[in-house]
Amino acid sequence: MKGSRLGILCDSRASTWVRVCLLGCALTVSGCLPIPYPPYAKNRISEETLQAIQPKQSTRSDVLLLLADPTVRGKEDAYFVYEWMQGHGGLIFLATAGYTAVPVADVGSGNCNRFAIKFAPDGHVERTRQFLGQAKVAGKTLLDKNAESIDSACSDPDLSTAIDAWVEMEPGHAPCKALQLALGKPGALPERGEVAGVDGAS
Amino acid sequence: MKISISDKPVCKLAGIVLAGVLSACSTTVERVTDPAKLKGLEFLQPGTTQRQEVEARFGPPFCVYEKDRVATYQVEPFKDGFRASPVHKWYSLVLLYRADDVLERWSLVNK
Repeated sequence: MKGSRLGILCDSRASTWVRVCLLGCALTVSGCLPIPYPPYAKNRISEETLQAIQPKQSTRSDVLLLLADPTVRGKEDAYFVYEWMQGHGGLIFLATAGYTAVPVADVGSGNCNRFAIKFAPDGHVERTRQFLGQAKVAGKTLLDKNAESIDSACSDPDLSTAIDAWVEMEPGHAPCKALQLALGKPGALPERGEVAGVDGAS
Repeated sequence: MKISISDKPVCKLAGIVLAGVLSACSTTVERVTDPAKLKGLEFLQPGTTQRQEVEARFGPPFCVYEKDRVATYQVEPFKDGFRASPVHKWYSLVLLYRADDVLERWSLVNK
């Protein structure tokens, strides 16, 4: 029991929570006004659009006409990755003086998701998959320019590794196995990574 | 006379502000199909419009794909139409040309 508590304290995500809570408490005690903001999505790809991209039928041009420029272009456009951000809401702290209010800090949570599309050499969609990132808590003040923001969830290295493995995978191979190897977790599905996938190869 | 909380001007204003915040915070990548929002792009006629006409209006493309067959521009609303805007990304204009540089298909994507 003691060991698990220590584990929680040592866990980087738990320490982020602690830091974010301390930041929120300090700002509230110092007189800053916390304003909640709702969940939001940035560049979300609708289910309808996802369904419109059909392996072996849709082409690279079709994808571009639907989704425009990708976030990541693979070598020789062999694959595209589109990134979208899901914010779960949070608090903006305002410092008030008289009739003016200035935002001084932002705490919240969110996760970054990616939609990857692999193309066949003839330009048709070979397979697609959606990768859902892990929710991440972040807090930063305007004074701390280098602090992690929620958007930095998009720099998730595990998610990138999983996508790289999926992209490199030859058609016909078991996609889950490649993802497991990439994440070093054989025998179990990765905790993060594709969840709601549409895989034309399988 | 009974007045509900929602009748108070302050509550109405708060509701309008909240609705604005909610709608402004979320963006979905989708093709623009509303003719009113496509105003100013009527010159894009598949089978007729030449690549040169497009480049005369918007300049060199932001990105090209498939050996220049697909060109994309970042555009923003300007007066009664659109203009290329590499800094402010309001919309993406995607143009698919035939081999003879005539427009084949196009779309405006909200991002």
